Amino acid sequence: MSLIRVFLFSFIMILSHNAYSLVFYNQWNQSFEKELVLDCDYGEESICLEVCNEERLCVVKEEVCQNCVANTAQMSDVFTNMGRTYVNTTEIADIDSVIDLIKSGEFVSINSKSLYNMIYEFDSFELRQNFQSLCPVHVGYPVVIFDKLSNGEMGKVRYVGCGDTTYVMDHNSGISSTISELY
Amino acid sequence: MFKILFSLFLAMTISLPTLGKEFDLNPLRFTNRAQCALDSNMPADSVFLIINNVDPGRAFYKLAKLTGSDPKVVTKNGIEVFRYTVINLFQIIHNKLLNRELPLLPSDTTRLERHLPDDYTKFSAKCSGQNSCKSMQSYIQFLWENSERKTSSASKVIKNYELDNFHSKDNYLVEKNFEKEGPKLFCHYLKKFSPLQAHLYGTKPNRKAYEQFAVALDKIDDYLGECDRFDNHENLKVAAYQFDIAGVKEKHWNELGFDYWHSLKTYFSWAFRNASVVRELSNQYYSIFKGLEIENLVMLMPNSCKSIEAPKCNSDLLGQKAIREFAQSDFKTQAFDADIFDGVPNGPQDDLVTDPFTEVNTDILDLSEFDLASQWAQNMTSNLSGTRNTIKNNVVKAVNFINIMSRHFPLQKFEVEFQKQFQTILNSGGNNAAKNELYYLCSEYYFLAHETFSSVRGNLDVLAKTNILDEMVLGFSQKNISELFSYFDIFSKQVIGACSKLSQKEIFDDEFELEKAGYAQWYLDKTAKEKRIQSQFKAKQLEKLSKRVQPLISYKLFESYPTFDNIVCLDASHCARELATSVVEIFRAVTYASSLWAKKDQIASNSGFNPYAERLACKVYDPWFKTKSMIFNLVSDIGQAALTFTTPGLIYGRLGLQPGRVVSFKQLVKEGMIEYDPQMKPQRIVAGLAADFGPLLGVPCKISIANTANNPYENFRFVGISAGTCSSKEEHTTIANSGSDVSDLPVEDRSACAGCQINFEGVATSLTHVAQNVGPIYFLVRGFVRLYKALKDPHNIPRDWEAVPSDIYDTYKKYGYIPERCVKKFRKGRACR
Repeated sequence: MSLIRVFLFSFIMILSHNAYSLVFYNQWNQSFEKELVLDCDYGEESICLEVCNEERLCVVKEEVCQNCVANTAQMSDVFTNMGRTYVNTTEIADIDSVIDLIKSGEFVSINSKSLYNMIYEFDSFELRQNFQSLCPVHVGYPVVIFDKLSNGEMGKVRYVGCGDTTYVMDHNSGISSTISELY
Repeated sequence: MFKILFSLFLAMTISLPTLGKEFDLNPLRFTNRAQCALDSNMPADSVFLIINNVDPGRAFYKLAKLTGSDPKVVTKNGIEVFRYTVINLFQIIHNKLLNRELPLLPSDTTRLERHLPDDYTKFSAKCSGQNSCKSMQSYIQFLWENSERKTSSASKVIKNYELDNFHSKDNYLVEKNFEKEGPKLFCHYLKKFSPLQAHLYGTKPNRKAYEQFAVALDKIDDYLGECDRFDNHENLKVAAYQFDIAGVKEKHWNELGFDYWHSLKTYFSWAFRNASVVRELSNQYYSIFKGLEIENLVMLMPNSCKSIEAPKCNSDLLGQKAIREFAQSDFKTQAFDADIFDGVPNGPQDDLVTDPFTEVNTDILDLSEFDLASQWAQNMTSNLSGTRNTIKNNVVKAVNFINIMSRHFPLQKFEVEFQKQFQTILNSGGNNAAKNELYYLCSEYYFLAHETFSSVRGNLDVLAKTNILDEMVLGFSQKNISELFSYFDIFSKQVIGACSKLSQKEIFDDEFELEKAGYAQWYLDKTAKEKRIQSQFKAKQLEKLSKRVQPLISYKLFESYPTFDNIVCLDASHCARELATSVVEIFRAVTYASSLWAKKDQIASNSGFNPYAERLACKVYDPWFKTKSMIFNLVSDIGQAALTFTTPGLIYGRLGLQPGRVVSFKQLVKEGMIEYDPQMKPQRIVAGLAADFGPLLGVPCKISIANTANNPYENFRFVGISAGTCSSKEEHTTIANSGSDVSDLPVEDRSACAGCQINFEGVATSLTHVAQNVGPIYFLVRGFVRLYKALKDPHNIPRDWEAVPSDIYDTYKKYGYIPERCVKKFRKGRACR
């Protein structure tokens, strides 16, 4: 009986895993173009089929966002406050919305090794820690996804990919206040 | 005959081997202070282009790491391609503008004298102050795509006319299609600053200056290099170039030059990200280039007193003062004293009041302090970007803080939190540390926001209304500047209200001891700058942390990592004081925004070499003041002389004087038309007057006679000369050629004068007889001497001089030196062979 229970639980876990998991990471190819890679070996083949008509891997071209290779206020804010004001809400993302965003191409993806980072050294330990703090489990290089605005600039933060789980992100919401408790 | 001609030709060729050598450099224009001020209203025809490669370089380095390439190779190659792309795009846009493929975009959409395209005017108004503006982007895209069509430029002109009524005459720099012999753009890589930029080091050139100029021309390869060769670019961080525009009709250029620069900057900004030609130029780096904030990486600076933007008294122009500070070789050690880092900055306009007669054309940007031009440019750009980054980081922190405060600290809760924190003090107790905290809070808010006592409240009110920072920096903020200031405004009323209710004499009694170091750094810098006290603000808040575990507002991270960095603010006073500091940081950024950030849709430019651009535009300096006051002195002194019947030496005119005739004073004396002293011959009068009368002797002036309609007198009394001396190639040869009261005159040396009149009025013969026989000529001489001295003022009477490279070089090569006799000719822009 208990064996059946374990089997059933594992089956449900696999089903839910398949239904909600998506592994993605970003890279630069040898032609110096930015790409977001969807790895369906660990996830759902149907996702890759939907995105690029391939079963195992999708390589989605990602155009560099406007004013992102720059030490602007926005890019400073993103890299210095990742994990502090840019926080994981712990809500698991609706995978269809994530796929729609990726398919539209109107997204910006970054991790702690991002070329857009003009604040920290390349692959700095501190920045890696800030990004890693977004995920409940250890992930080497979590990928954070933002909207891209119609003018090509980086928009609102949307998701963080922590291994095979994608969470919803928010800005300036990870705040605790004791004011209302006291009065 | 043929043989003779051939021998002559051969002899000329041999004896003058270097005649007419071209250097692809515009003539240098030397100016004194007053002329430099006036020149700011003219469009620059020679500019420095400074390319900052630091951020792109960082990106190329990371790109190499991410792709497993050699970082050194990719970084160097990427930087070279970046420079190559910028320079070529500059030249491509220039050619399109000169070839009538792209129309000029009006730099001033309020002007009336020239045609304004309707849609451009409309979009300019609509897009003003916006972070990005799609309609303008589409508009520029259409113009650019039209310029790329494989068709004649005439057909493009027609298409542009159809698009937005661009007029063939008013909206193009040249009237007919571009010809090879017509306008040219010369590009040089700047290796070293040298006498080739002598006009930035001094005013009136002497023989030695011309000789040094000629020597520099002889060794031009030591100072200037080719733009498209990168093997001589030793500096990977910054590169500096010189672009000279030649061959455009002067009148056209003066009328449309500002539109040219405005157009070039606007098209450049758009094309760098969107034009297909950039994809071709930038090769495999295209995707990186598209992400660069190009407006803040490329800077145009006039290589003279002239301007890229028509000077207007606004924050853009005033902000250019900061670039002069960034260019100083000792900026890093002197930055502490710079207003931009002051506790609460006064703003760039303060400099105009405290230093109205600042230096100009005396190497004010420290060019000579650096061996290489790239080192100078690197010093300036690193000081600029370093300051920009410091201020930007503080602003990001400040904006986030106020965003969080406004979301999590309701205004009505302040008083409750305040009373809770200071309960013991309010109950006539409390320790010194708590009293100090209260004291800091109230004094900082009184300073910033008290309706009566605050010295900066008015400035905050004004700056709260500006959107300059929203446009340039704050795209990421949830609230705009106005909303952030508004929150502070209401919050400050709560703080000041609470402070005002305190029984201050009882709380801050005789035993109270103020520890100044606890003030915020901005307050200490503003109120006790000379003491340079290091603020202990953070340390004092940290002391509180050990006693109070639960902060008022904190990041969620605080639960896992209870460090000070994860606290937003501890208690009411800490929250309030951090809010005040945040407002000061935003105030600083708003005050200096236009010094630090380029506009969103245009590459940066400034008038670094001309501090009188803003002084003139803001009416702090009047280049005509000295001229006007000088004339006033002369007329009043002569007036006195004329009114004093016992004063001799009055100058009289004879009846034959023709009103309206343009003639020099010297000529009148020569012709015997005026009398100074009947005992003296005309020649002696001229000689005698030369010392006192100086430059005005040869000035052609219109004769003006009062009461000419019905003049009952035979003689005229000289009552003064009114002259506006403006620009002369040479002292003592002032020529009047403008002004409604002066007729056209030969203007071969292009001097300019506002106007000149020799004024006479009718007097009775008997009166002239009396005056001619009496005493010394005190008043009159005094007037002349004063005029003469005033005209010799080296700074405040506008003057300019020239240096034409090929002429000076030819003379130098012919003689091996510059003869003294040539100096006057060179100053007038003439050759001397």
